[in-house]
Amino acid sequence: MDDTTIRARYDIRREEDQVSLVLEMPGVEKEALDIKIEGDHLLVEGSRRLPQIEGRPVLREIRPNDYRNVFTLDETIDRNKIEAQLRDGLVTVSLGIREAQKPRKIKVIAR
Amino acid sequence: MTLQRVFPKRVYDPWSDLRSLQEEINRLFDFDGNSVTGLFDRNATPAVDVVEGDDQVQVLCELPGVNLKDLEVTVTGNVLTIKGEKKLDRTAKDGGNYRQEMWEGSFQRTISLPETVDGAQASAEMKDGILALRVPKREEAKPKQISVTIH
Repeated sequence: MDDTTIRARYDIRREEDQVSLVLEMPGVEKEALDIKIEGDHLLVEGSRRLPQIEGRPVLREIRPNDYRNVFTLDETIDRNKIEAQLRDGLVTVSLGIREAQKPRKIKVIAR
Repeated sequence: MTLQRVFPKRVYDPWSDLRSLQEEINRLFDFDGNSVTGLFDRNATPAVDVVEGDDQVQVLCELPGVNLKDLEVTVTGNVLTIKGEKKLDRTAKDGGNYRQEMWEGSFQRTISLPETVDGAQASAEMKDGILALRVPKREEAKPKQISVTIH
């Protein structure tokens, strides 16, 4: 692991049949985004290439570091139902919930 | 020749513990630069880079998740204003939100560019959540090479 990476900010939202993970990774192109599963870990890595010009820096607030976030997946997540998309610098990872773990409605029959 | 103090390699360095502690603390604040400023100030300030080149000025602004239609960039004289609104779709139907680190809402940045820029010639593009703006300098302000001939 590289010390120069930073953790992207993220939201986690539980939906009916999936968990949505949204990460802020401005400046990361589709080709530079790497999402993989290693055992119980979900790795989201994005290297960024910001447009550069020669000259004197006047203001420097953007941290040019690459992003690296690691999440632990538990049993409820179906490893085969993970999808990701990138739009406007936001990475959205949809983690499908296993059938057996979904909430099930039980019909009550009145006699 | 410069004189340098020579340290044997494996001497205990009392500062190394302190340095690693400092790195550890830095890691705690491992967010990228922008944050919502103040408790009552609802305006967020996205991180901005400004680089002054020989013939143009480049401004980069981190705006992940901001739609083009919610963004307004104006240059008046040498004052650049980037403002807009970041709208995130955060409607969770039944489960709810487990973690929210991203900010949403309106933001504004006003930056003074060098006096020599030509605001009318500015161009901007938005790609992968980064706004890249280039403002050329006025012709008369560009550095000129003056060739000196020897007689």
